[in-house]
Amino acid sequence: MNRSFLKCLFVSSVLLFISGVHAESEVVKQLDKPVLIDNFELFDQHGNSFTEKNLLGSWSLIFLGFTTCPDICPMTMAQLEGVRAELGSHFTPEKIPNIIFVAVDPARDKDVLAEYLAYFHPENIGITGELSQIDRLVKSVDGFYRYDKKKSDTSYTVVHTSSISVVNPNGEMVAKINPPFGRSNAAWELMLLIRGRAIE
Amino acid sequence: MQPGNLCYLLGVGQLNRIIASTYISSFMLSMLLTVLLTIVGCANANKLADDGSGFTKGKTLHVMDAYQPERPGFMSMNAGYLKIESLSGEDVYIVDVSSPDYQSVSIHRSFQVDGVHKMEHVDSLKIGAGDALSLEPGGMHLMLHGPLKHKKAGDFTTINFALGDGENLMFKLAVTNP
Repeated sequence: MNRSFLKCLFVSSVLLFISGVHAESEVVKQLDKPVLIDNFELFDQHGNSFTEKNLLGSWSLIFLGFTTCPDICPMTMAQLEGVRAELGSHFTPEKIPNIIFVAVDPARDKDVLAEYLAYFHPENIGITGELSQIDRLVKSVDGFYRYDKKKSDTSYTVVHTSSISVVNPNGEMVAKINPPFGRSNAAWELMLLIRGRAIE
Repeated sequence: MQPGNLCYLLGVGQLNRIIASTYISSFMLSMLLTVLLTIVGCANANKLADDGSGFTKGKTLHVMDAYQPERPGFMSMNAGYLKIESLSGEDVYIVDVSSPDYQSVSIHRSFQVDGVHKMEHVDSLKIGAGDALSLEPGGMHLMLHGPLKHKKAGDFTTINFALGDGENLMFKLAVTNP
């Protein structure tokens, strides 16, 4: 094997590595300006009131979903639990973000939210309530959802935003995590964000 | 003892009767054994592996690592995942999916468009000659609708793929911890 070929191989490997690293930095996208989460009043899976004030003092990862979602919501929950687990090697527990599942289909979600969340990590928080209050929070995180059903359809699905909102301890949305993402990439970039360092 | 001695002792007619009845008994015994072996063989052929794998009879398609995570009892829809590899020199099509454990089963695909999660029904699934395909979380998956019984970790769900060439592929999804 001649030297010029080896040089070529080395340069291509470096370029591939750099492009890979660059692509990974797309997972957590910082917003140009923090967005304060507007006031809302919902209830957690234990029936306790949950408002924008509950977001103060800790980092939160907020995502929209519904309890009858068979594929995406459980997968997202599992991925975020993986991210939290990886952040455990960088931070003390109070700095690790809470996972907040906003159940946007209260007619079917309200009575089973606790049962649903019991299938995941016990520290996960699920919130739901009046549609008008859900909509306030959804608007704050620049989210979207729509019931994909016909009249009298009881097994409908819900189309919803895929990104996960990152909210800082001041109750401000500062970034979005865009799926699909690898746990390690997301955890690394969140670690940089929480430490106040630039995501590169 | 020599046959000649037997003839002397029993007489030719009696000896013929004994030989004939022995042949008939042997024939019946062998028939019985054949039937028994066939039954055992069929039972083994119908016995599905508990490791989430299965083959078509002609070994053209191989399913492996088939599983479904346990979900709460109130959920009328569950998802199943698996890997399929083609051992065939021709394209194979899965044209229908069914299960004795669910009201209906279909193939669905989750996808993202403009930052929104959506899901769509997939009519048939093509596995190209020699190709492999994964049905995995966040992508293509089996949509199990209407469980006849709540499935818990350690249980199994029987699935049947009807293929375009008329063959069937039956296998089990292992129900795993959430």
